Amino acid sequence: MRILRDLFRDYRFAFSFGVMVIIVVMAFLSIFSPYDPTLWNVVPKDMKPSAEHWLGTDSNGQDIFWQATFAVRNSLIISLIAGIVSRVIAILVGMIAGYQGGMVDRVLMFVGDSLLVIPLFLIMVMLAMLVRKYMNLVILGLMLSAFGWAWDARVIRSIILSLRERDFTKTAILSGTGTVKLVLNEYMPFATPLIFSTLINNIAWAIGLEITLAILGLVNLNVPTLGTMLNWALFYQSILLGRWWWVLTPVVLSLFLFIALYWMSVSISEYLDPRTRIQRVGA
Amino acid sequence: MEPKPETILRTDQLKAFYVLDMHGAQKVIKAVNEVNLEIQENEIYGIAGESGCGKSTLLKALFGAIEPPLRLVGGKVCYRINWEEVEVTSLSAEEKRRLRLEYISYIPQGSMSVLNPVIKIKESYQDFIASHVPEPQRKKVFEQAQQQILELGLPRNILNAYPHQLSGGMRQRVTIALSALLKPRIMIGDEPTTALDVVMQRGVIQMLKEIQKKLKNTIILVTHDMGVHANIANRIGIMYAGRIVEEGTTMQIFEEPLHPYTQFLIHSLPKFGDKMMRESVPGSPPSLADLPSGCPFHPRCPYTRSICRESMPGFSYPAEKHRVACWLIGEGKHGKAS
Amino acid sequence: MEKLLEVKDLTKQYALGSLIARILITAVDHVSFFMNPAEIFTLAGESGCGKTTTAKIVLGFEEASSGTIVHNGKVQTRKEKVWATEGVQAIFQDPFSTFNPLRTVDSYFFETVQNYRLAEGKQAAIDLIDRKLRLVGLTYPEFAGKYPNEFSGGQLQRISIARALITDPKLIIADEPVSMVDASLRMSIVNLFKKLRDELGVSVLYITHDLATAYYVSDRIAIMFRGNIVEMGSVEQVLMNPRHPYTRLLRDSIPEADPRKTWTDTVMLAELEQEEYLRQGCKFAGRCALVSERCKKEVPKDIFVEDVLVKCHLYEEGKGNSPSR
Repeated sequence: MRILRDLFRDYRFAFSFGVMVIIVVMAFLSIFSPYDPTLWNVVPKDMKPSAEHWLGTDSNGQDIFWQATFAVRNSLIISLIAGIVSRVIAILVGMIAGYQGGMVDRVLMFVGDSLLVIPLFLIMVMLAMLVRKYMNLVILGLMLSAFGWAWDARVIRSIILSLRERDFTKTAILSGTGTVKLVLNEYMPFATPLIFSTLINNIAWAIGLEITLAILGLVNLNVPTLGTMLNWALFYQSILLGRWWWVLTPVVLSLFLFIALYWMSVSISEYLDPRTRIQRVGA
Repeated sequence: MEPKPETILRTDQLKAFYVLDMHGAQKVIKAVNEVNLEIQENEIYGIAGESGCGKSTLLKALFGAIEPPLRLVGGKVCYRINWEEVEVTSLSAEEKRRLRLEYISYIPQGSMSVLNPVIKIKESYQDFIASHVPEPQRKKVFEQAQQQILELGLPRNILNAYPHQLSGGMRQRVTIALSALLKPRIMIGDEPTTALDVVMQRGVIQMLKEIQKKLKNTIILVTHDMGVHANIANRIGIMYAGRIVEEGTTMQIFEEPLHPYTQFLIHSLPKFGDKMMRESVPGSPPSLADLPSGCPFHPRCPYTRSICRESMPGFSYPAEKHRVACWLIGEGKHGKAS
Repeated sequence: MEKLLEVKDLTKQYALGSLIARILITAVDHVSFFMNPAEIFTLAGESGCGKTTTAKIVLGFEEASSGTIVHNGKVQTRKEKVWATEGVQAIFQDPFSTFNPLRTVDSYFFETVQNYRLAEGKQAAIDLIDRKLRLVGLTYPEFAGKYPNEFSGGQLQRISIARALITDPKLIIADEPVSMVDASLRMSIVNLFKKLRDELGVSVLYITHDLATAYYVSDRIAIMFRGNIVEMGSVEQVLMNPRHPYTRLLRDSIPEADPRKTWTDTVMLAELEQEEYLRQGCKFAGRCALVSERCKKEVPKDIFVEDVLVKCHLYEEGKGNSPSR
């Protein structure tokens, strides 16, 4: 597609695309794992990286490479759920509040603002402790999404508010377009770059928050994620004991993931920015 | 050719293009294409033309504000400061900044946004003064400003108002007064009357004439509205597709327009009291990124000949101060190009 | 014959300011006028005179504070979708803002055809659109698939008119349609209005501050000042023989494209706009060259002088002819 070709000219996008491909491939490879990630002592413990165990083994007796494939997969699932669900909520709330105005707008913004003001971390900790027994990927993803929509809803709302005054709104109304179709067709294209870049940012945020919660032990530690891997590695003093292969795996993976996500969001939103788009259009 | 002694600003084969690089593809917009101007002291020079002919870019170049994606591709812009010629295009940013407001000032299109909306007009004035006048003289200059405001017919209490309390036309006039504050030798205005209704427009034009009469300086005015030029300009340059195609005194342009484009421009304006059918200029101006061959007006010209498609005509000088670039007029007395 | 549009005693007030210092601005002050079929009627005046607000109310985009609007004999309820029910359409001042820069222009046309069910199938829609485009001097092939910034301002404004014509309206409200178009191209747009009136019987409510084009194209005209209609009648009468001092000021302020006819005296401009809205007597008293004490205290009545409505104390019954100019 021409869009992809244009995007690839940006080195940032090319790099992040490459990294994401590797990560997704890793996640996919988890299907072929010869070891069950929830079991212990499947392989000899604390072995350095070798031909047999590419990233060595950990103190639980698990192959780190295959653990990592599961970790990456699960982290991605959590953050994708968090990101996508919160986008959907943000779009709905922002568009309705922006276009309708009045009481609807005030109520929605009140709810959103409350979520912004409440100290997120404490609530997350409380919720995590309450839900720990039932915690699985999906629940964690949904919890994170509940806190990720408020800011962007407000931003989308302000975009809608300004677009509502433009003449083309009137043209669309005079053309007989109904409200829903109007908002989708006329306003969405202006909001798309925002939605995309915040989606990716949100995913990064969700991964980060998951890692934080995991290090604090507030999630189900038997499910391998980037955070839980890190938790176990620290628990077994792998830094002190010099078992760099264990601690570095989730750290390096997370690092690359964050950089890739950030660069991807920046390059996509630059590309989609209405101002540069308008210049490109008809060229 | 030696510039005449009264010339205060001149350009020499000025070429300024926009070079846009969009995701790999390059687009060159030839906004100012071989323009030669000699603008005198104590005159109001009007530049007329449709939107998209490059007049705003020409103004930017005259003001020395050539910044990417606009590039100076050839030629130069010279001011005459204190009997010496200074090539503006080769000055540093700091040197240019010092010239501004004192020697040359610029009134942008849509002046409404020039004044800082969160401070009173008075403070905007003080800011301007502070950035161009050394400390000891500031108070005196501010008092002069207050005097100037009264002289120009603006209400006394305007300094204490916020910009949003004033109408568009009033803001425009304040901006013009501000740009005339330090008595610049050259004032450049880009469509100062567009988006104003007739009464405000008249007020703005009158104010410009007042200022020019008082300061005896030069005003260069760009607008597509020939009615405005008729009322204020001494000389007019008609611009088309990045080039000057005709230039003359206001009388010459209106009484004896020679270039077919100029003729169209003048005949397309409604004359009040005359309900006779009038026509606009047919077709639309060419894209500056994709100019036609030869004379850029030939696709719309009713008198096109084959030579018009092949090469750009040079200037002929049918009368003193009147020059026109058109094959119909022929290579006249001074046949050389421009 | 049923009048196409009747506006009776229309008033619209806005509250400005905060809780402590509220002022009520009467943007539209008891405005009344009517329009016939196949007629071009101009509402003219400076910016801030209320002409655009009146248009928005007639169109149904805003609600009046009081007064009635009657379309084809039917009283319009508040904010009714008159464009859907009464054959009213509109075109706006800035052609580049009229269309979403991120959408192709033809998508609006297809949308209108679809929403109003005006054609069956894509080819029929294209034929309909092509017909409307030809009315404004364009053809479908040169228009299809293009974005707004690929057209010039004049072309885009004509396209905007074509879009308004798709639903075969009887009334088109044109809000300053030529203010943002180059002076040399205004004729092409304004000539279109004449063509619409003569060939299709469409009426145009032309809102402008440019009296030159108003004279050229309208049949009747109303001059507005700070919410009031101060003079109204046939365009010949009102503009060739202006009676109200404000109309004279407007006419004199038109820049003539003739270097011999430059302005001689200076014009007095309004100080702070708000003051004029809140004046007790005649709102123009602050700037009028012929002002008297009575003007400052008493609002002038609507007086008829030879079929022209004038709102000025100078023309009271029995006061004889207008003072010499």
